[in-house]
Amino acid sequence: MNTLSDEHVRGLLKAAIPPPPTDARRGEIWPALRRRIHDGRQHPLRIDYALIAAVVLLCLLRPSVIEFLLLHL
Amino acid sequence: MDLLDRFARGDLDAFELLFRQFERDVRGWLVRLTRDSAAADDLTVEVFWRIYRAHARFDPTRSFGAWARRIASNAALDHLRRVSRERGARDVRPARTPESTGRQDVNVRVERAFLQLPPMLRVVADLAFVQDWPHDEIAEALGISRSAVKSRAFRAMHQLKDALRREGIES
Repeated sequence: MNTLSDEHVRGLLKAAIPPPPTDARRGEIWPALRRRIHDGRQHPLRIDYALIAAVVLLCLLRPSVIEFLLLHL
Repeated sequence: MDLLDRFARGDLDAFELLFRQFERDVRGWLVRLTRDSAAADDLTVEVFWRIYRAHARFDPTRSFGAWARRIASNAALDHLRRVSRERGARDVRPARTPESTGRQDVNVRVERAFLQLPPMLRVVADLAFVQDWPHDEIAEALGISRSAVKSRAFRAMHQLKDALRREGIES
């Protein structure tokens, strides 16, 4: 049988869990973020090209796909 | 066109202005949730990256700060889950040293019990029981309902009591 009350648990936690740290950040992070945005912008382009290439290849191998695609575009 | 509209249309200059305005709040929130400044620095980049990617889904009539905080909460929870999995694999626990006094020993066992909570319950327990945040504010910040906060706080308290009992703390 557990005899701990909610208030007792809160008190134990407050005594044991240190407050969140208050130190300042390491430095400017905008350059890293900007770099990531620019890198990210390039990746979808590569995916787009890969998808286009796959669709073209599929159309060449199975021309019936063209009709299917036209119906769904 | 105002700043939020420009951001919603993907304007990078508008995003930089918002970043400058909210970076401190977002990082502060991440530090509160993760209690790890270095992780909060890395997560701040991750959060603003997620924010930028989601710009088209942002409603300029809503609060950018609240939206950013919800995205930050999700990123912090992802981080805590990852850390929990790694901790589970390594079973890293606060060390009990031979010279620990009784009080220190109790604190070590309480912290160990706290770290056993699943990340979402731990975050709610931290905000509600340690940092004394009202349930409404926790709900807003985590992007969940007030009743969900209440239910998670209840489950966290229940699991904490069980974990404390396993640690030999019963009264």
